[in-house]
Order: sequence, then C-alpha cells, then structure tokens
Amino acid sequence: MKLLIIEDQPELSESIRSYFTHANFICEVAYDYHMALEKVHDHDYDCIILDINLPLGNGFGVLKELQFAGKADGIVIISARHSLDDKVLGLNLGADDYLTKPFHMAELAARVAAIIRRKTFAGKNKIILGGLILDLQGREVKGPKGIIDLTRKEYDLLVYFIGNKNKVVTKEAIVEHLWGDSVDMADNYDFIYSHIKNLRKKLMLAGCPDYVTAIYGMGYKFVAAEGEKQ
Amino acid sequence: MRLFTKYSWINLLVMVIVFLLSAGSTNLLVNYVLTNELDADIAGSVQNVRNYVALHHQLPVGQPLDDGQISYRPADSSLNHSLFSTITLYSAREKKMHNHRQVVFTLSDNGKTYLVTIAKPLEGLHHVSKAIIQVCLATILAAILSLLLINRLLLRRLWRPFYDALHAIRHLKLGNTRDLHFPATTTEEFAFMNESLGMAARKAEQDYLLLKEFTENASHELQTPLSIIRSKLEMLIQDEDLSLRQSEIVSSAFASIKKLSRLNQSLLLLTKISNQQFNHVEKVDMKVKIEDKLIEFRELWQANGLRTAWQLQEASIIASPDLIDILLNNLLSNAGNHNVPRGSIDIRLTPEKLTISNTGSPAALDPTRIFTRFYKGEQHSGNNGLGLSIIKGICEVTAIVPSYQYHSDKHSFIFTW
Repeated sequence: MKLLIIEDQPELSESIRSYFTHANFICEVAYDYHMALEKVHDHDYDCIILDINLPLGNGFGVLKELQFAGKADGIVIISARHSLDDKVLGLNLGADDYLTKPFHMAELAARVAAIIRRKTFAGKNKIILGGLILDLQGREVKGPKGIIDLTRKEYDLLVYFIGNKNKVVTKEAIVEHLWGDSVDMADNYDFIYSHIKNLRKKLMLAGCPDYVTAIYGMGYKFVAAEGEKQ
Repeated sequence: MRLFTKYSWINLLVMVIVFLLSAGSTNLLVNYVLTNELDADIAGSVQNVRNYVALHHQLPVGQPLDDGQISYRPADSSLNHSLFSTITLYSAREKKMHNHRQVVFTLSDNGKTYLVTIAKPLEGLHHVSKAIIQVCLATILAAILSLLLINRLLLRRLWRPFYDALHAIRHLKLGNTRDLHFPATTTEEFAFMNESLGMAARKAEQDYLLLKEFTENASHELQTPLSIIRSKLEMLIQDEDLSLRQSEIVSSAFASIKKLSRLNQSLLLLTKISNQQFNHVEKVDMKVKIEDKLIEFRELWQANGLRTAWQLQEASIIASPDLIDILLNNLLSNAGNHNVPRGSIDIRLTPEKLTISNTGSPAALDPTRIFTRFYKGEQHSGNNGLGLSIIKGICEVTAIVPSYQYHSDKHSFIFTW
C-alpha cells in the first residue's frame, strides 16, 4: 500500500510516516504545495493524507489538481481548521474524509484503513483475519465457531482495532472514536472496559485467540500476526 | 420624546413668550400714544375753556365737549400746573363705569378762582387693547396648530432617511455588509450620516474579518504543535520497553493535551458563536434530537451507574441545528460529569421548555456567575469552565432563555423558548 503524506510540519509528517511504515505502508512525504503536485502527478497512491495549510499554496489547490487529473480518490484531509465550510469544501472537491487536528494517530489509521478497504474491494469487502471474517457491508462477524453477535459499539471497536493492528491504542482515542468528539467525558474512561471485556469474551467464545492485550495505564493493543486479506 | 417633538415644544414656548412680550409692549406703546393724543386733545379743551373765560368773563355753560364731562368748583387757591390722571367714571352714554382721562386745573377770573375738571373717556384705548390681545391669542393658536401639522406631515417625511438608516444599521450582520443599503437622500446631513455609517460598517466588517482570520490562524498555530506532541507521545507508547512509571508520565501528558485541545476548541467555538457564524437556521425537532442523543449518553450514564428518567413531548425550535447539537452535548455531558455515584438524571421536554435535572454537589451553584467564562463551582479537574458559557452563547443567538435552580439536592437547568 502506498501512502502520500502532504504535511508541512516535519515533526508531524515524520510521526505519521513512522506510524504507517510500521503498519507496512510504503510512505512518501511532501512538505509544500509544489512538491505535493509533483508527487501526485508522477505517482499513484492508495491513499493521500493532505494538510490544508501548505507553504506556496494550499491543500484545496492540490485537491483541485487531483480532481482535474481524475485521481481524487482516497484522500483524507487533516486540518487545524475546525470549520464546517472548509470541511464541506474539501468533501465537495473529492476528499473522502476530514480530520481535525489534533487527532489521534489511531483515528487517522482507522480512517485510512476504511478508505483503502472501500477503494480496493469496491463495496463488497470483507476482512479476514485468521479465523475471523468481517463482512463490512452486512456488519456481520464470523469466528471459527460461527456468527458472533456483537453490539454496534463492539463491532466498531473491532474494526477500529483491526485498523490499528499491533499498535497501542489509548483509551481516550477509543472513546473519541466510538462516541465522537461530541461527548465530553470526564477523565474517567473506565466505562470502555466493559465493552472491551465483552468483545474479548465473545471473540474467545467463538474460537478466536485473545487478540486484545491491555497495556497498563495506557490503553489496549490488538495483536494479530496475519495481514488483512479479502 | 422625539427630537423634533422636543424641538417643537421649545420652539412653541419661545414663540408664546415672544408673542406675549410683543403683545404687551404693543399694548403699552399704543396706550402711551393714545393717552398722549387724548391729553393733547384735553389740553385743547382746556385752552378753549380758558379762552372762553377770558373773552366772556363767565364759565362756559352746557356741554362744550363731545363725549367729555366738565365740572367747575370754586377753589381757594390756584394750581400751578394742570394735573392729568386716569380715573374710572360712570359713562352716561355706555351706561357703565369706564376709564377716563381727566385733567384738573384752576381758572381765575374777576378775582374768583375755579377748580375745573375735564374728563374724556379712554374708550378707544380699551378697544385697541382688546383687539391686540385677541390677535395675539389667535396668532399663538395658529402657531401651535401649524407646528403640530408640520410635525405630523412634514417632519416625519423629512426625518424618514434617518429612521431608514437606523433600521438598516440595526439589521446589519457582520460578515455580509454588502447587504447594507441606505436609501438615497438629498438632505446633506443625512447623506453625510449615511456615508459615515457606511464607512463605520465597512471598518467593522474589516476588523471582524481580521479577527475571524486571527482566531482561525491562532487555532491553527495551536493545533499544529498539539498534534505534534500527541503524535510523538503516540509513537512513544508503541515502545514496548516503557516502564510503569514512564507509562504513567506519558498518560498524564496525554490527559493534559486532551484538556488543552478541548480548551482551544471551546474558545474557538465561543468566538464563532458570538460572531454569529452559525447563521443557518431551520426548524429543529427537539424530541428526535434528544432521543438520538440519549441513545449515546444512556450507555455512558448506565456504565457510571446513573439512573435516568425522561419524559419527552413533541417540541420544535427554529435554530441552527449545529448549535442545538452542541447545546445538547454540553448539557448532557454536564449532567453526567457533575453527578455523584448512583445519582440520577431527569430530562423533561414540553413544547416550549426543556428541563435537565441531575444530582450533584450538595450545594447550589452561584446563579449569577455560572454562565460566565471559567466559572467552576468547585475544582473539577475534568472541565475547563467554558461549557456553560458556550451554552449561554448559544442561548443568546437562538433566543432561548436559560435559568438555573437548585432544589432538594438537584441541580436543574431550564431552557424556555
């Protein structure tokens, strides 16, 4: 999977690159408008992570170029502008998703994974992970011992974990993913524990290994050896 | 009182005073002139009497005067001067008491001295005074009437551009001053005022755009380093060799970043609300909206052991759906966050009223300060004290009236619209 990271802040760009490289992506970076145009004209990417504020131009310009070249597919905008107008403009110009800074790396990974699944499998996609089969369209999960009945939150949690395989995901990133930015919870995130406990129990009952490891004081990690297959 | 009503009253008062003064002085002047005339006339009569006496050596008999009266009395001594005075006498012709001008003088003839009194009526003078007063009153009345009429018809029309301009300014929305149009006027002052108002509005618009740009840029400048810190920490926790102590440090750094980024977002949101940047309004079905929210929140509340009860009637409001969303998120988050273990949350929606009550700290919040920025009833680590100011900001732009009550250990926030 090839990923282009268009972000002018080298530190942030490096973090994203590093996170995705560990998830077996081939990452390229562009730091300004011209470099970004050069890259998108010369190469095809499975997914492009695009910052709006760029030196020498702006992200909307890159989007327009991509749209003109017929390559506006698989784009996640990351922007510090939490503005509805910008979001609408970006999505109208062909972006697939819009993430406001500061975001959780795990959230970005989940969004990128969703875009790639949609692009690659054209809607009838399935995730197969060992004995686990996720039918993303029917939102159905099958284990070695048959269908696993998951609640909406448990299902979302599982997809989120799979998008962040072998990564430590913080509890707050999970809360933000499942409940959105709207729910302003106090510092106590213990309530997600029951969701995770139920998910683990259901997966294990269906004959799956115990994928989820708790990292003390920090969050959780979904450990799986195999890659994502159709 | 309107400016031109005020002006008219002052005008009227001055006019009445001026009229009265002029009427008074005209009266005095006319009085003086006529009296002089009469005195000259009487002096003529006096001379006639003297001449008659000098010629005939006897007093004139009968009435030698048209409308005057004359009387003779023997006197002991003679007067040096003729004495003029104004007196009231019975006028035989008009059959009533009347002002007369009289003169008293002495005549000497054949060693006899007579005191002669000649009186003539001041009738003409009386009529003139009466006429002056009548004319004066009529003029004052006419002035009042014409002023009232001018007020009603002319001034209202003259001042129209002023009220039109006020109306335009009142309905001015920063962000689209292009809609600001003043009706054309030929009055120099109003044209000048319109030009100045237009300039002020354009300046405000410019400042507003700058401020908007500034807040957006400020947020960008803050959000980027925050993203970098967060991404670096996320890289760090991927390291499997982190000790427990290190994990705890990173974890608390995460929590602070979350707080900082929420604070930043809240301040931005407040600015946007007060800048009225959420100007898209539509009919929002409150019942559906709250039901949707409850699905999300109930789970969290149940996980925290909070009992919830709700009673929702059909209700709708004309408002920005985004703002109502933020309002409900804030309210429901607060109801859960500021609760006590095994507490309760009660939500009631009637067609024009939403009440959210929850158990919480066992003391009322300061109702005069709860809606101000950074107010914290007690030190609560999880919130930045902006939630209620955001709620208030939203209420202000959507014409909702918020209020707070504390009753039998329950904090209630009541919203009416």
